[in-house]
Amino acid sequence: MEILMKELSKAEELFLLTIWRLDENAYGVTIRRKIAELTGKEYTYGTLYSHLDQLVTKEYAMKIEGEPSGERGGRRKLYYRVTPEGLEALQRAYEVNRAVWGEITGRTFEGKMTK
Amino acid sequence: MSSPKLTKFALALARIFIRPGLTAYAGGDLEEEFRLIEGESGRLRAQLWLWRQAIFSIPSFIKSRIIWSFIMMTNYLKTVFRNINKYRTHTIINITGLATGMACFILIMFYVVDELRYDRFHENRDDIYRIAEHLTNEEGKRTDTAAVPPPLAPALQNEFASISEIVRIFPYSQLNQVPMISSTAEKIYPERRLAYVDSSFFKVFSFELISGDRESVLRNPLSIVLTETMAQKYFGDADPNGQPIDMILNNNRHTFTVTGIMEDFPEHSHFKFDILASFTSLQTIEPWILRVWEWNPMYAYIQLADGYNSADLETYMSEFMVKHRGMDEATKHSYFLQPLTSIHLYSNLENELELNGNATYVLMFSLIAVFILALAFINFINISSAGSIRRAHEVGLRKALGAQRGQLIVQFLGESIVLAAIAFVIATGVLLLILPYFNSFTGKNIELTSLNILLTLVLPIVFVTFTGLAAGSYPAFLLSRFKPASTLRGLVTAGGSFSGTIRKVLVIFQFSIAGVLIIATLILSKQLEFIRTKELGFNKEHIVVMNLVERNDQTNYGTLKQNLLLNPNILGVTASSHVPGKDDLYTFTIVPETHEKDTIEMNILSVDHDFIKTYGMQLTTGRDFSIDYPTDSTRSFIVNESFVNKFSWDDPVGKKIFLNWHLYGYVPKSGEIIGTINDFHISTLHKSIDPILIHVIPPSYYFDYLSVRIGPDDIPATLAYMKTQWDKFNSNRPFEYFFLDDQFDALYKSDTQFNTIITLFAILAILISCLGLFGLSSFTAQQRKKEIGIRKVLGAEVSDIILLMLKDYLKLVIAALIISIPCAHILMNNMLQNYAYRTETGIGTYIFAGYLMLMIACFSVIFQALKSAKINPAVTIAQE
Repeated sequence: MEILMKELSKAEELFLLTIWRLDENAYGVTIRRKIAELTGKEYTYGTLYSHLDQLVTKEYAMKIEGEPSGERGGRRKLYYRVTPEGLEALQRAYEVNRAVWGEITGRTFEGKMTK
Repeated sequence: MSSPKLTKFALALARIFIRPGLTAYAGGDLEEEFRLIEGESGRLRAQLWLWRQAIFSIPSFIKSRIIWSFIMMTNYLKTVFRNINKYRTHTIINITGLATGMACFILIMFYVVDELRYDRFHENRDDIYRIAEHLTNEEGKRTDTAAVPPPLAPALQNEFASISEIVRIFPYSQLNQVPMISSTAEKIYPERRLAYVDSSFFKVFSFELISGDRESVLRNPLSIVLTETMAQKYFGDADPNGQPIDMILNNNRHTFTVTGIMEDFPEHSHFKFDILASFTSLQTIEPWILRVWEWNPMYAYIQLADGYNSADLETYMSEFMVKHRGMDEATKHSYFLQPLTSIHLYSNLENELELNGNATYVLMFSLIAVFILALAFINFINISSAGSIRRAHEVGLRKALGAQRGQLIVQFLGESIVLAAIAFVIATGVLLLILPYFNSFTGKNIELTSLNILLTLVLPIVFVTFTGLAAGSYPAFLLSRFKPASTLRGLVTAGGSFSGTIRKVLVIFQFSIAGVLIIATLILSKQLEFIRTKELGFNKEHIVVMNLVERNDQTNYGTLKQNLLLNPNILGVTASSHVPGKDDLYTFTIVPETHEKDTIEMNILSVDHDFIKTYGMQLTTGRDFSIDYPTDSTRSFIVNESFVNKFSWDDPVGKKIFLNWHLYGYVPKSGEIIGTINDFHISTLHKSIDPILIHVIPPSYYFDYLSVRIGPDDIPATLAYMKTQWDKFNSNRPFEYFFLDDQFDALYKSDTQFNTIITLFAILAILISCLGLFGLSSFTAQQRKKEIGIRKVLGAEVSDIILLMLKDYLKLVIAALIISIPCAHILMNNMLQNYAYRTETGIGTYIFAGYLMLMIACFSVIFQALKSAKINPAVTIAQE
């Protein structure tokens, strides 16, 4: 079944990538913190979950229920994983990025040389 | 915060702004991170963070909610449309029926609203009343007229403090006298809508003045207010204020000054004029009018002062009349008050200013509209619930997959509403197409945009929702009731005998309504035909009538008559005070020789010698007027049969009569009856024929009409000849004429209209009922597939099957007939009472109606019957 190959939006790319990088350990708290760490953006849980849900609807990510944990008072965590389609999408995004940005050397952003 | 409290709080927070389903996880996340931060940066930081989470989550939460419900809705709609497509014939029938009903209903509602709006724009409308008169003649017969004598209103205002304002409206041009007004230099225009009004006109009524002061604009004599259109007509773009404008009356030129301009009279006023002149002008022009009590040429409106009521005033008015005019006069002429807003719909007196609407019609049409909508609803219900068998499977499946009954109900209701919405859109389209025709037909000016914006948006939504719910509830509840086990196993029948009966009852109801309408149409058409072709007692074919308005015309018509008679195509010319089909006769008192103590009021027709001949009336005894008898001009009377019957004379010829005649300075006269004629209809067949006295007046007096009987050949040429003669003879007024038979037909205009409307309704009702029957029969065909298969195996022919199916439905139609025939009969009897002359409603009509309905029913059912009769039994029985 061919899903329409739409490009990932910036936010989607960010979230999906974060999930991917967190491997098995991607759930609400970790995702939020990681993004904050990487980009400085503090997403609120409301926004966070709505984005995550979008990704699930598009079948780029999937939800996995974790075990009940004592520290949460017996509630489960909801883990997120990247699906194969999601991986494909990430790959495309990476390639587009690389093609467009290319090897930018010698260009300056206001006095700062790129590496 | 201790653990449990924190948990609860976090959970509560999460519940508020996280999507349902994720609440547990999010709650946990919040709690966990809270602890982390607490550990990292202290409790205060953590709490602040938590609050921040709460507040900033809200916008995206809202957004996601909206997006989510949107997605839900589109998904929902997709399902609905998919369902609709699956049962295409079904839904098309449903939608068509519903759209028809809706269009009909909406159109009528517009009409009704329009009718109810008349005269409501006046600020003082609750205090304004019109004075009308009860006129009682000798025999105690009472006629009510909207027109009153000129001195009445001022006299009342003088006497009663409860009357704060009076406005007299004297529609001068209604008296067959059309004054011609010219601007200072240009053309002469004959004006038909001119009225003299009191200076209080703009104070009492809320008509818009574009220029001029409301209080004073019509105060001075010889002031005139023009409507915008008139101002444009006479002065073009120049400023008319202060300009002179002339009125030509009887060869006198009166110069008026334009003191104001007003907006054109709105549609919703029961009187409309083009030109208003100040009442005080009459002092200069025709002062004698103001003092006459015996004549009712104008209309009087009063405004009640605060704190007084109209009933009291009416009582005081009658006391006043006795005191002021004497007992005799007061008994003959008594006055009453009509509230302004009731005039258009409820007032149907003699001499109304305009043809008024009719409250009965409005009520009836509303009822019919509701009925037709009900028909459409019934169809919808029938067809939807009948289709349940096909959907039973689907319902079972859904339930097996976990759908709740409530969800299913919502789904089906949703489908109904969508169907209703589609039907509504179609109905609106149809309305837009039909509206121009409707407007020209009813003489109205209805626009779909006449309601304000809010209503135009809200009403359709409410209407569609209501329709969807009302029509869809029963099927929805019915359908959702199925148990998965039984449906999936194919064991479901059509919901049991209960709903079967309901369906049958509904069909009977539908056809009853259709039946009543059909019968009504047939009978009304018959009546109309009867009226059109009935013997009138004179020959109305090819009579051309000209109005004689100017005094000049009226005195000099003799030359015109002679010239006209020179044309071989002109068979007769006669002058008279009235012609049949227009205006009521004047009445005067007579004293016949056998009743010398009585003064009897009698209709008087004044003619020249050739009237009876020209109109082709039948003499029954005696002789016609003739110039050979000089006494005919002064002493001879001809009367009709009703006159003779009234006095029970065996031999009327020779009887003496004293005619107390006074108008325009004529004098009373004595004379004898020289002949009698057959009764003839001088007005519509709504009224019975009254006794009439006809006499000759010499040509030097004033006739109002010149009637010309022309031959049937080459009418245009004859008319051209008449025009040349007219122009030669009179230069002031253009050649205008009308055909007498047209005039008579015009009397029945509203009847004809009504008939057309009822016919349309009948057709609509039939259409909808047919649709219903068609849908229903398709369902039954489905139902009985197996049964029919078995019958065929047992040897039934195609024709037997067809008969079988027809029989069931025809039973319903017959039941409907049994109901509708008595109803229609009663209704029609009621309606026909409007006419003094009626056609008989024989059995034949009812039989024909019944036949028609049976045929229609057959026609709707036959298609399905044929289809099912042709089914191969092997297929149907094998399904077991």
